[in-house]
Amino acid sequence: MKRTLEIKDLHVNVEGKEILKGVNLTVNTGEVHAIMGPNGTGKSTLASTIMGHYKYEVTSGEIKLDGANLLDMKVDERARAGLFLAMQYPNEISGITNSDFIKTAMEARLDSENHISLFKFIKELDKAVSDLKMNSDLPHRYLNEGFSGGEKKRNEILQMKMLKPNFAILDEIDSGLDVDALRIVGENVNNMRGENFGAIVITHYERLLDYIDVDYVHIMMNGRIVKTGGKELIKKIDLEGYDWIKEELGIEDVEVEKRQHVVLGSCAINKKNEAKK
Amino acid sequence: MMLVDLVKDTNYIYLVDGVKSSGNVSSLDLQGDKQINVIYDVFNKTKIVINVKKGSNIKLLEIFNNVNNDIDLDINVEEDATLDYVSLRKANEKININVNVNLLDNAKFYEKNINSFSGEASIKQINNINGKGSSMESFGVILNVTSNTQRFDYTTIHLGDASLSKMRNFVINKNASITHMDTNGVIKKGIKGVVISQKTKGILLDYDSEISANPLLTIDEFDCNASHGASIGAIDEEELYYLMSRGLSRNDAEKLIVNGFVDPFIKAIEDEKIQEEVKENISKLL
Repeated sequence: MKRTLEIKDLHVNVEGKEILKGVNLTVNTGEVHAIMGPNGTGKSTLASTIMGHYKYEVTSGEIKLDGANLLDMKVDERARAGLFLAMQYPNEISGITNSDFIKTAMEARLDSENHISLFKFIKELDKAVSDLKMNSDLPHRYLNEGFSGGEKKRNEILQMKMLKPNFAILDEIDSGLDVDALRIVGENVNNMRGENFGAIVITHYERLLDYIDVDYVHIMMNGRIVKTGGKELIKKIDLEGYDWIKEELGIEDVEVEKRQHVVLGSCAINKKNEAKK
Repeated sequence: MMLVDLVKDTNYIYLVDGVKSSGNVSSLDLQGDKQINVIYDVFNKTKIVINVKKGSNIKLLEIFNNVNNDIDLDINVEEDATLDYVSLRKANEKININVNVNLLDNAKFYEKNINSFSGEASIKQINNINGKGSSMESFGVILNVTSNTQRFDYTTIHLGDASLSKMRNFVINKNASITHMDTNGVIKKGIKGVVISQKTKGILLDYDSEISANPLLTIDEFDCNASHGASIGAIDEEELYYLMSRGLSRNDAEKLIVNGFVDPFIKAIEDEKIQEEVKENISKLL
């Protein structure tokens, strides 16, 4: 069954400052959307807001999942409703093994009487670990603790493969990945394409999109999606950067906050001792 | 599997008010290389003495089964002996426990304890690091969900040259409970080359609970390496957000994080049946 994630005129503040200034985006299952744009344009803010991060305040607009108001749902309810966010900086949590965590998260989607068969779980996890060419000891290590940047990103994709969300948001999943890891991650995301899976892939660079087949490309600037197109946009941005879009659409860079040097004070000195010298 | 069923198991020593009732080991004078499991039922004030004989290597699992009265516990580790000690402490009533540890030359004492008492509790432990080159490592978890006040007062006194002590305690409070955690370290004048480290981490699972941690080092000797510290706070919101973003409710995410602190202690228990029971008990408390 087709599902729809719909964002309408979304405005979001972070610590009193408006970051998103009217985002509109509709994603259906079966579609993969890429969001590109220069640094600081609100891409990660959009990802975190969809997932319900506590620091992001929606001041107006709406996010709906199959017509239901997502903004009324808690973070865990959004996840159980079918959303997944592969994070840019996943947390390290000591004492919880990866496999225990994933199994607990899978069981959170079931009724309290139902449990996942341990045999089936291990078999599925082993396959996902092998698909991602991860170290076989990784599921038994504590969640992200001591993982390299690349291992953390693969671990996010491992969780996505196991939890099988309807909508995955991949927030700069390519950062920290070497060329081989990028290909493996890209291929694994691509393999999830299907009528029950939609994705929003947030990235700065086109190299991840060499491996993920995208249907739509959106350019985000100054807190809004300013241009939408197909794959041809990726190549053009790779060759020419973002300046041509600013010129074409008459977008001016947001004025950087003016900063001024101030003297905070100076340390006290012992004049008595100074005099003795 | 109830812990009390283990009293019928010949691998366990069953002590009622400190007196042996069944089991296949004759005394708590422990010698050789072996694993010893001890279960306590305490109805009257009781004194228990554990002696680990010279050169021995003992693993001791101590389980508080049906504890209703105060306990004085002496643990003596003789020269060149090692005691690997796991203690699962709980009590049905208000309780006072006094533990006195004595380490002789080159003795080693590795302690892991989980404390989950049902009411008021006062636990005092004095670690006398008497022997030259002796060492102790102590890791404790305190789960106070009782709405009562519990006090833990741990003192480590170094009297042996080149001795070492390391203490880590995790305090977890819920349901408007109050826990006071005092850790004291003493290095006497003339005792050289001591290494001492004491840290406490407190986690508050609700707004009405309180934890106080008072680390204090009294050092009368320059030749030493000493550190101590304490931190108290709520569970990191970012960690909760991460777990919840995978579908865990806030309560389940908190439980998982707290279990993360307790897990290394549970893994130190070799008996899988006991492991499961401890896990279940902790899960119920949270």
